[in-house]
Amino acid sequence: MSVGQASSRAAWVSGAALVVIAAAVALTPPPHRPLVAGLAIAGFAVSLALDVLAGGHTRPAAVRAALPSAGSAVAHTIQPSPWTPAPALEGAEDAAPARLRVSTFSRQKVGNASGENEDSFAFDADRGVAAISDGASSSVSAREWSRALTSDFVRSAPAITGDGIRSLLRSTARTFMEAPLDTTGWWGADAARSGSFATFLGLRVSREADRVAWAAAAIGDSVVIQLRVEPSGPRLVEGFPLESSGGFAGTPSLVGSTQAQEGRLPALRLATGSASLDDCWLLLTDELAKWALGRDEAGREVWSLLLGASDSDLDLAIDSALATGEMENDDMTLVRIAVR
Amino acid sequence: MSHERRIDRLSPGLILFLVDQSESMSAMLPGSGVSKAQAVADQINRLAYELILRSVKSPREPPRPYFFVGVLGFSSASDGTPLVGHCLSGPSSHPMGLLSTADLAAHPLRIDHVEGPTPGQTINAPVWLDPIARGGTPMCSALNQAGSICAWWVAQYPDAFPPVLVNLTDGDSTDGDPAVWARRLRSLASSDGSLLLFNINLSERPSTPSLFPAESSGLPSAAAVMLYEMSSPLPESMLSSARSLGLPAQPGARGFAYNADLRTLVAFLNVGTSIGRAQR
Repeated sequence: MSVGQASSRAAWVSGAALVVIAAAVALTPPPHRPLVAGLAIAGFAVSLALDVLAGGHTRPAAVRAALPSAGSAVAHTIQPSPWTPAPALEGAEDAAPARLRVSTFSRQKVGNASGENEDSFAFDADRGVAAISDGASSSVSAREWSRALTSDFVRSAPAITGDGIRSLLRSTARTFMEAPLDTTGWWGADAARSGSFATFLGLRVSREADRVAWAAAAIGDSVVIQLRVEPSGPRLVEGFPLESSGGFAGTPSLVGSTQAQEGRLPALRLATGSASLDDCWLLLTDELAKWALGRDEAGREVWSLLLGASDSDLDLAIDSALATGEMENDDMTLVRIAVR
Repeated sequence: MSHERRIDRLSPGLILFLVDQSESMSAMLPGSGVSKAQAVADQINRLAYELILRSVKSPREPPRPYFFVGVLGFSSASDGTPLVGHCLSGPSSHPMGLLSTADLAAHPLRIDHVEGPTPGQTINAPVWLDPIARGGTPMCSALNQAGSICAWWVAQYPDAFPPVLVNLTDGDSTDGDPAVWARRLRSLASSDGSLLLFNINLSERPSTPSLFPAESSGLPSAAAVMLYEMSSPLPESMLSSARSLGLPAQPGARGFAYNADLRTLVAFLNVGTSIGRAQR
């Protein structure tokens, strides 16, 4: 299992060629972008073929995803289910876990130290699970709570059902709240009692031969975005639990440690979908997701950038968006996932 | 969209209270069992406590200075001289006499203990403000002093959430027309929006309060209409906060309560100071 937070900036395994694509597409005037992307990806396909012939397995999933693939129907159900048991998800639980290729990017709010990043992520590439969480700065120990949520999900790799996820969140909260408290002032115990808060999104990807299914559970506005890479570039297939930039209200549902311990959780949302072998998923915390979806809605390239850019190129893109006011200062985390 | 800026150390939030400390504040507030002055002090102490808890990042560290709080009490001396000044306990090194959430945590006047939500549990109830009730209602002098503080604030933090100013009173101004001073205050703005000036008129008697009205037509007096017109419209985030509490806040609703009892006072402060909640 891999758990990341704060200073984690694991590099997207290679990605150099995709960066070239991303940069070329991004720098090309919109009318010519499909052509540039198509040419670049065609070149990429050739390089992948050579790589495969050479027995190479180190290329990022995005490279594989760059190959055109047969589309598959997406059966997507969103079920806001605060307390009622969710039905078993079609296919997702029967199939074996998919083996994943995962890379991550995370940066803290400008002005904060790297140890103050309250986003967290975790994944187990061999068990087909990944999670992301965004700790609420206005609560105590948000970083630790966020980390407990993602690491427990990945460690347990639970079935994505309402009961399964609620049971896991309650167990995580109990362990978290019962840990000895080390405090230096009257405010410490009071703040701890009021609870820690964070968003949560857990993803599970399963595979049966060429059939891929995914299931996700979410509380709050951390999102999973399913992408299909086509000759014209990556295309948004699904966003869950939010699919448009207008959906980010700034006051998302949050998992509270005290509340979860007592069995009180806001509405848990569940989704399932099917995917092609070459599809990719991005797990994103809110500000990055809102920005990306906004760019996509405006017809501006963003998915190639998020899939393929190096950490330093992503930093540059984010710094630029912050400077122009397209983004607000926030912790930002991206987890890129593809099937191996 | 305005009034959306998140609160952090680089862009802290300012919540400034103007508290009427005139003689009439010693009358009982309906629904509270205590005087209006005491009920106001209790609610400000509760709010300061909540702001501190929202600023604690780790139990091992003091709270962070995410919020600055000021309470300007206004009353008058026996010769009618306006008395306006900071009245929260604790030494302030701030040029405008404000206290950060870190300062507040370090210097409460005392820490009372009250019964907690579970039987046998006691929780801290720190106190920074004790009630005072004497003299007249020099509201214009108070608004003027608040203006100096808020003008300094928006110059210092031009991109932060703009100041939230809450005027709690039970009477009419005794030193002029406060509408003029209110207009001047509302002209202050950061890049995130205009200063938010809210007014709470505390009740003299048990009767139906008006909370967050969107029009002045139902208000019973010229004084109430004036306080309504002095009040800023609630920004979208606060309308949403009001609705989440089950309060009927229509678009265009003003940050104004008339004839407020304790319940209205509590609801008003929950909504009117709902900045920086659920920050990520």
